[in-house]
Amino acid sequence: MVFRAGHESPVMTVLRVVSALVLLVAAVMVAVVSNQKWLLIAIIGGFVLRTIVSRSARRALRSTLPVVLFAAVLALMQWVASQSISSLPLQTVAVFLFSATAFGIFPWSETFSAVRPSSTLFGLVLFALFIRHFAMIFASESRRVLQARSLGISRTYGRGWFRSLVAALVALIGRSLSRAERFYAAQSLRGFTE
Amino acid sequence: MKPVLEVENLSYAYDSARPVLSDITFSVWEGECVGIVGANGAGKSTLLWCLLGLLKAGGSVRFFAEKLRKQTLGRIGVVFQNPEDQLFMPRVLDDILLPLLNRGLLPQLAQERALAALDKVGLREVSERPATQLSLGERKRAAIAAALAGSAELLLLDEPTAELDGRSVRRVAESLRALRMARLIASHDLDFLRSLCQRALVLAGGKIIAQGASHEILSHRALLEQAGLI
Repeated sequence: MVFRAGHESPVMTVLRVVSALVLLVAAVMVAVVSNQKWLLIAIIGGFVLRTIVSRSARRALRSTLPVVLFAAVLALMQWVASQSISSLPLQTVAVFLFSATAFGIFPWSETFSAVRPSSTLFGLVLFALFIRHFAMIFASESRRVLQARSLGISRTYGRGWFRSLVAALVALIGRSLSRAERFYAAQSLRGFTE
Repeated sequence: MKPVLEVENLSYAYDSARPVLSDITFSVWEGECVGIVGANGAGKSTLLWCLLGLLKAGGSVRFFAEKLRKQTLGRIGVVFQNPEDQLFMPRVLDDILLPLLNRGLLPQLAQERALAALDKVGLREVSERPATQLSLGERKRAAIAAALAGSAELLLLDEPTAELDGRSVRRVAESLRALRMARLIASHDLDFLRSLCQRALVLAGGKIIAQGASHEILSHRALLEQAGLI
């Protein structure tokens, strides 16, 4: 990340908080916009921001790909069911781009240190950190599954590409669930799930 | 010496046709280090999950002479096979601080305890870094530190050396050897267990097929072959 956590100035921390909040507001806004042209512009903008924050278009693309795949499956199902596609798949990608970038630049360490354990905000910060961790689990499992698939098939769009893609997505859900279950078990033993 | 963990006739099955653990009976005493050794799929991790109440098993499990309660969990440290299941905070130090603050400890005291726990595993210098930037060996030791910070009297470890290189295994072993509390370690790393544990239980097919002094059990060739360990 460009905005690294650590011993930074308070001004920088405030700037990161504000930027993250603005991006979260943008994520909420694109969730209610239904105009597909505006959504496409938002996706391009969101991707540019994500590229700047990750310092690499390739890295940004790699993290967005599973969500794009999910949105594509969603669009396919809608088309099969009603011969039309709503704005939901585009909204999904746009919301992901803005919220993932917001989570990436938010000064977690500084916020965690600044919030008192007895305050209501502490639970909220903890909840956001749980979500961040689940997102990271999902992203890392997606990378592994898609990498394994690409090693297992000789051509990306050759024979069996669709079957292997479906199998990879099913495996991804299973693996993410089992890791989420283990994470929940570990945190419940530490007393964080009451 | 008092027993810190007593397990009697513990059994667990995913369904009636697939018993995973049956008739498991053993105990762990204060300050003792006990190894649970078994091949992949022998039921080591399932046994730990059953002990902690994460899976509902038959039989009796008593920690510190009483049934497992929420308060008892504060006296037990757990280290999962995958440290990413435990560490999720922005800094390693936060991961260790969090349970202490959650239990109501004053921030200053919590900080001292967390740094002391990191010292025990030799990781104070990486306390400001996120766990994702550490090597797997360091992450495993950070998870051990997180389990130690809460003044645990019993430490349960699931495959602490899985996927580690030789040097990292030695460092984890050194960290664990220096501890004085009771430790129950599930692993299939025979050398690691031999170097640490006074006693060992051999798990095969969901049953304890042998238990005794680790130097005898872990060098009994026929027994280890029967358990699928060599």
